[in-house]
Amino acid sequence: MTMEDREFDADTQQLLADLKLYTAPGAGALDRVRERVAVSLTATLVGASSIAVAPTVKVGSAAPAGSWLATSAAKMGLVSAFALGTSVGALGYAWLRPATERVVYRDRPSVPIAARSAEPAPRSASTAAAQQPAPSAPAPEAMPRVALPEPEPRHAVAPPSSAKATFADAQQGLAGELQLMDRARAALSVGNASGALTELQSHAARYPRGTLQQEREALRIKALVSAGRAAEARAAGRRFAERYPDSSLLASVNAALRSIP
Amino acid sequence: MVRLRPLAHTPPPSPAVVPSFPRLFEEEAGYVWTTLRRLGVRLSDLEDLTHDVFVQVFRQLEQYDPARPIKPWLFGFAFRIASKYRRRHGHRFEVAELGEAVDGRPNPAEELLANERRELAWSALAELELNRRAVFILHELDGCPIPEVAEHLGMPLATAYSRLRLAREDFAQAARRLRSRQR
Repeated sequence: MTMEDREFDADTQQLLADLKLYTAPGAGALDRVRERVAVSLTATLVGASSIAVAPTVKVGSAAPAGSWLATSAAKMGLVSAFALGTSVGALGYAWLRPATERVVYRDRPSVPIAARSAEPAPRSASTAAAQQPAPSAPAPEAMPRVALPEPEPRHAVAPPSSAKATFADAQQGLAGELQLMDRARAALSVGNASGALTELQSHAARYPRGTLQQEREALRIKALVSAGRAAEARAAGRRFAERYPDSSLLASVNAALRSIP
Repeated sequence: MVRLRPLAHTPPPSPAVVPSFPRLFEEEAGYVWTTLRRLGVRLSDLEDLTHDVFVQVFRQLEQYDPARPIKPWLFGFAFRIASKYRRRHGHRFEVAELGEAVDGRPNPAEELLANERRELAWSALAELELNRRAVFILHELDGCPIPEVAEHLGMPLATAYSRLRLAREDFAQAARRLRSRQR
């Protein structure tokens, strides 16, 4: 296929063959990465509002107990989100299982994260879940605001017992949101734009203030483009740019709009 | 344990829909890891940057066109993140580090292949300027056609061709020089 292969002598071609082989990471390395990705994504999806309001500190300075609890909360959130929210629920569960309990955090000074080291010791992991924002988030300013309760101001008493229920509700909501978004995305990926729009409409009706509003709007614009509803797509695109000027999805929205013939 | 596998650029078994994120991670984490390493990310930073790639991949997953091979798409993320990394850690970049084992223990399989020639290959690769190197890796090692390389790396086609040509010259030259030094 590559006429250029002949430009290399035999020795150089051997070097290329060597480079095509690779040394895979040690087994533990990918487990650690998997777990950290899970924590970050949960922070994105579950803890976005907490992150937006919580003071920014470095991971390394979080109290060990606090970060462990936050990690557990993050895992719970992600497991249920993936299990319910994707078409491969079993894989969603399996995804986190091989990971060890231990999460290795390193100081990553350039990444603002939210963790509250001064949190009083909660009664249980579940109540802690509602209280503790998940650690480590890639870009808080780019995240959608969520209709989750904001973390309590620091206080010396134990969190209210309703916290547990609220967190469970939030998780359920997120799982449902993901499910609808997945269906919409799948429909659009096979060219079924009207099917995608229907799913997105039910998403908007059920979760008007959901976590994935931004994702929903971006996907809706693409579906409108795909359905040939150019004027609506452009109008929605303008609203998107006004509402989320810094969105990481803006580039793809604009690309979709440019593709309108 | 360190395993050696060929990294063939084979199209996926034509999934009609966007793959689920967990599956994507299981199938492609090794590729992303290797790509970052080829792009000159230090072993000690590979976990961090692999994490960063997948967090971004998650947010952009709907932009992936499942009719096309996924590796070049992932390569684009790895390239952008590796470029940013180089700007931040310029002084820690561009080091060929084969001696350093991932888990710190010597490994028979690694030793067998980590001979002079392999070290030479990685050292020659490490000498390539990053933009040229990216084109070189994606085309020569991953087998991605140049028009797609240009698209995924966001550069004009002519630029991609010229970077490929320069990268080949640089690579062959570096290999010759390193080889003569070895002898």
